[in-house]
Amino acid sequence: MSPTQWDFPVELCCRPMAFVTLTGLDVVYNAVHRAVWDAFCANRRADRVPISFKVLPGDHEYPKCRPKVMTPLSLLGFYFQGSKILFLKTVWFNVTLIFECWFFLIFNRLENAFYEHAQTYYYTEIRRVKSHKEFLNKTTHQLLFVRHQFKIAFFSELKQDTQNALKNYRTAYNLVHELRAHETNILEIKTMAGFINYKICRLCFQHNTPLDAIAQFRKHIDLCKKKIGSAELSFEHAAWMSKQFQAFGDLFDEAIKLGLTAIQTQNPGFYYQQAAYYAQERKQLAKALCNHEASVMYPNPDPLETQTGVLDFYGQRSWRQGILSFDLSDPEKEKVGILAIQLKERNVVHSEIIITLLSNAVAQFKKYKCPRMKSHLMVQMGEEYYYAKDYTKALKLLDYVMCDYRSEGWWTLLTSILTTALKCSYLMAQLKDYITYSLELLGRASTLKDDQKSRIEKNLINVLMNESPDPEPDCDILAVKTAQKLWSDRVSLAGSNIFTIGVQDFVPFVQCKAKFHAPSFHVDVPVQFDVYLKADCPHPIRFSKLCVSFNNQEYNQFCVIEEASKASEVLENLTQGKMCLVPGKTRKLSFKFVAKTEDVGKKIEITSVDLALGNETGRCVVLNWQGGGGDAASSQEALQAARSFKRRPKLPDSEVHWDSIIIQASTMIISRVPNISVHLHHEPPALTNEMYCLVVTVQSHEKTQIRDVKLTAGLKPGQDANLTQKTHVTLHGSELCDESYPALLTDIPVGDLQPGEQLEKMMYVRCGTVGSRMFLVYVSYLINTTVEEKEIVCKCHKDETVTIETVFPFDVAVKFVSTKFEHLERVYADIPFLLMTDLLSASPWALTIVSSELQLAPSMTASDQLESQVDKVVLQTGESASECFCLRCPSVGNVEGGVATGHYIISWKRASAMDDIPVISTVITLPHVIVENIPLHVNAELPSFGRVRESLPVKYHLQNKTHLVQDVEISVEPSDAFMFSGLKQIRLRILPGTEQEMLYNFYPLMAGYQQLPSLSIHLLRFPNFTNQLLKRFIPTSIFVKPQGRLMDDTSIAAA
Amino acid sequence: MSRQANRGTESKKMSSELFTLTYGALVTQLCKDYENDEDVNKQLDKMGYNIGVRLIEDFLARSNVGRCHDFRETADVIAKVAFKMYLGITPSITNWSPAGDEFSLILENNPLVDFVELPDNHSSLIYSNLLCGVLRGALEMVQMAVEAKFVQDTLKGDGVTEIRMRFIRRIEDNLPAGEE
Amino acid sequence: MAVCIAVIAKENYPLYIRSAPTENELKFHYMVHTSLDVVDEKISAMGKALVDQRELYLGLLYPTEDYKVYGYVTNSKVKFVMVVDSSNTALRDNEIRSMFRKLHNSYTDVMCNPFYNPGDRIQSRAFDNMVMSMMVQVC
Repeated sequence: MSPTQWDFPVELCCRPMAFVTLTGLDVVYNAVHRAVWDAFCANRRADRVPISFKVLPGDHEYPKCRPKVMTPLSLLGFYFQGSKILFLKTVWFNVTLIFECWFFLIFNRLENAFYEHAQTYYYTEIRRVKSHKEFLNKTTHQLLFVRHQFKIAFFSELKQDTQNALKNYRTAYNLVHELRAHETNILEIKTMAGFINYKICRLCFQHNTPLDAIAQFRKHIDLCKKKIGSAELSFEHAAWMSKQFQAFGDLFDEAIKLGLTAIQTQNPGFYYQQAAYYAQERKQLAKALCNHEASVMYPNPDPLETQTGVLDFYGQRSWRQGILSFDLSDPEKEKVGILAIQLKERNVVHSEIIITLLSNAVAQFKKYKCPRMKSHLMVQMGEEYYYAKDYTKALKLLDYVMCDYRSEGWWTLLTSILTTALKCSYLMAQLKDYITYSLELLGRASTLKDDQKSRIEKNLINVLMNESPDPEPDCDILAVKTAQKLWSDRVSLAGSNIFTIGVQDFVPFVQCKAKFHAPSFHVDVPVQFDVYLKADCPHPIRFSKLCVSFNNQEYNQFCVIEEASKASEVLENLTQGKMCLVPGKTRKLSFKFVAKTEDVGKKIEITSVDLALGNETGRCVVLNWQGGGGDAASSQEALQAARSFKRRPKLPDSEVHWDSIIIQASTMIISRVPNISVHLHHEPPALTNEMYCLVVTVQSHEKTQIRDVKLTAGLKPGQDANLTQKTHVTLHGSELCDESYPALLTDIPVGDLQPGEQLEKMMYVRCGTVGSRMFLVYVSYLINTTVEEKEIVCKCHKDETVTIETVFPFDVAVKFVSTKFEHLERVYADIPFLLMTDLLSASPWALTIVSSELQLAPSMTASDQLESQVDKVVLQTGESASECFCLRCPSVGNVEGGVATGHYIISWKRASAMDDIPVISTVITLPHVIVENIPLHVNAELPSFGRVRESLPVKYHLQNKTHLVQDVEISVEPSDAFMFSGLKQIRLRILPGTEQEMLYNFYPLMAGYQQLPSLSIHLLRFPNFTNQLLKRFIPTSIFVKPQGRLMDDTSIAAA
Repeated sequence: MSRQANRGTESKKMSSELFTLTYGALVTQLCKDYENDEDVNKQLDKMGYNIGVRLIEDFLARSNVGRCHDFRETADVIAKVAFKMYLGITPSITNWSPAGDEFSLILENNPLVDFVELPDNHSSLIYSNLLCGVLRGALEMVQMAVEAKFVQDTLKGDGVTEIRMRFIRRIEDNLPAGEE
Repeated sequence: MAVCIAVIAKENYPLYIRSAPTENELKFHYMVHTSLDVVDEKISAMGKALVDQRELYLGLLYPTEDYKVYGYVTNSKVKFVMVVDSSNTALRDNEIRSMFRKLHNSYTDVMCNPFYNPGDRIQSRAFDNMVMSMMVQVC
């Protein structure tokens, strides 16, 4: 912007520095001179002495100092011409001889010399001014005091003595306000006050005392606020006030750029905002005061012209410069002057000024986290653009801030913004925006009165009928004329007559809620939903079409309501028909369609609802809701309604309360309810590894044939992984399923079923581990049904779950015993021992042991045939079957943990199982056994019983199990029950690996169970080898029968 | 049995705000559930009646008043003892009918209606109608059939709240009025 | 005496606004709305600092040329905003505080009215009367 009347002089705004001119330098053609000049003025960094250099030609004429006028005629005599400060004498040096080398050596000293010289000069000047003061007194020379203080302060600044400068400026300021003010000089006083205030504030900021600056500014405003001056030129006061705030804002901002921190409640934004406010005041006042008729001519000659083109003194009137008296000597001249100023003011583009200031303020508030203040200022900017007739920019701003006010629910403010926006869109004949704003201004959030809303509704209907709307009230007349032409152009244009407006994000005058009747529908039941509409505008309005769109677009065609109505009918018959919305009443529109089979298991969602107002022949506006409805205010309203205790008045059955409707925009399609029965028959618990039979019976209760019946059966998915690995299912019971069989059989086709028909399928399950398992039997089928006269194919399914426990069929106990059936901790190498197995049935079902088999480890040998002794034995619950095998284990080295015995395999099945059910083999690993070597083994040969007085031969075999010759001492203890013949005591030697036989003849003396004479054996090499141990191998008693009597036939017959 | 021990001067303290808010919630719920104010009034009266027939026992045990000889004594007991005991207020008794069978209870302030402002669409709602039911039920248990109704209500703009009590007849022992 | 009194819900929408009748109502609406910036800032500062949380009075929010705006927030995050004429220098801080307390009490009474649904605009006559008594009377 070009500098205006109100800007501060540039001399005021720059930083005062000592001024030195260099003459006689030819900086254009002389390279050396150029070099000197560059050295002085280029790169004047902050640490160099503050001097401002200028080159003047050698023949420059220096202005004569103006004569000092000591009389009070001149008020405040400073004025600036260009960049020269006239009342300073220049300090000049004549540099004619320059020697390059030593020049630069003395360069700094030269600069400092200049500076010191300048300082001294200024100091002298200050003293001079001060000395002048002594001649003045306050009453008569009031005006000069100010001037002197200012001078002193300014010189101090040049001297860079800012503290002193500040002190003197403050004094000057106070003096200004002590001056007698009168309408004629008030502008000058304010101008001066403004300049001095500026200086004070600037220095305060420089000194890093921003609070002082703010306090000074506050004081300045308070003192000057009421000094308005001439009423006819009151806009000048507003302009001046605006300038003050703007300048302070600039100073503040500059200080911030240099490091000052501002806060939310004290930042340059407030000052720019206030500057804008006064600029607005200026505009208002100018409008009122400068509203001269066109016939009024600009005065000639121009009272605002001066000889020099500028004023001699700031703040004075150009037609009475230099006059001190308060009285107006020439009132006529005054009037002309005032008129000139007023007419000049008319050319000022106020809006531009206001907008710039507001824009600055907005930038500031954005920085300091005042979003609402920013929005408010943007509204003001929008409104200024409107006044400035820049409707496009206005709309852009207003549109931008609308959502802030909408989201926070400040309807009064939103309505005001919308009203301005409507005006803008009207004046630009921008159809879509005009319609959009009308929609909201007619709605429930708008705070307009009914008569206003009626007017807007009428205009909207006109627009829909392709006619021009009435102008908005309070618009500029010329603008309206232009607008009317634009509108009639629009009317004649054929194209672009359908507008789709997404209403989700604001609050339109029609509300929409879509609701499916249920959150899910079976596929054979028609899907039903309702669309509820409610209008909030003052008068009934007709719509021409409603369509609902879904995620599966095939359904769209079923959900359209349309009424072909001529454009003229829009106003007629408004309350009739379902296409008409009566304000306040809830209109319900119902729809129905059949879901597609492929949507089973999926959600049908309403993606949008479109409501068309107007029609194709005129103009058509489509209100579009995303999803099932709702707008910017509906969620808060729903929340409030849910909490409310308000009684809802009773409505006739067909009507519903708007608040009670909750949007249900999606529904799930689920499969048709199956009409079959699935039964499972089985006999739990299952026994591990058996082929457990499950009989599945499916019966159809449908009225028509069902096809493609498929069966899925087996372990219910989702259970423990271990169970899955140890469960196997098959349909073929005759084969034993192994690890390769799956846990779940899927989609086994079983054919079709007629109504009432039944089928049976047998399933076999093999569970490898005990525990609980959940089994699933899932039957799916297809059936044709008719829904709403359409035939569709439905896939139905039914499932049954059953939990099956698996238990061990039997417990197997294994023990090792000696040939005397005494428990053995360990077996002895090469000595036969007995392996006894005991099978205890733990099964609730009778089990048939088909056979058993002993598979010996290589280190074991059987003493005789390993025939199964439990072949075909049937065990009831709790019964046990035992087997006994005689084994022996040859001598092995020291084996850690014992020697492997082998495996015991039991083949069995349920007693009740059918013949084709395979036999299950359960393998039991036999325990390891510790094998010990013994040096000597004894075994006896003797009959199973004796008889009194009959000879009982007993042969003892002694085997040397070692590689060395063994000395054995044997003795026989006599027994009362026997007489014996044989060696009573003997010492033997037995060769390695050989056997020695001892023959005894025992002669039983008594009947009964008698103790045999005991054999005592000592091994000389193995003294620790006890008798006890050896005795384990030989029987210690025998049954002796009594002497027999000869029986005659008669006694036998009697017995 | 423990009640006997507590009878006497100690009355359990409860927040009056809680009481007022509870009563308020009750009335607003009734307003929501019933279609018109007359039904709500009837319901409040019924509820009050059920409270009254039980409360009388507590009252008689705690206050130890003897049998009243006439309606005037009854009025005194209601205003000075019962209202004081249960609501902490003492209404004044005025406007005796010449026959001595009707009087008014004037309540300067009614704790049930603290903070309450009736919305415009409930102009025929008798907000404190519960009290009428309580009085009716309690007196019935001591063989008095009475009618109680509100004739002035601060909620409707009147200066005071006034309940008009009218004696109908003495109830014979073998004709129990029965609960509704 | 205030020139504008407002009650703002915790979601920042107005529950009640009343301004002196002769003034441009919109101006006060804007003023109250923009003051919420400062209120928000003060509340979040209060939350961070270990200041006595029971201090509900927020004090002077910000001054404009002609008005002073004061704020107060309840523990349920309902805000009261009061606009006072700058030239009314007689109004001291503790008077403002007591005005807010009165407002708070009246607001509590409104909440206790069983017919009032919290979150709705306040239409209580008693509340209105109380606010009118605190506002500048313009004949």
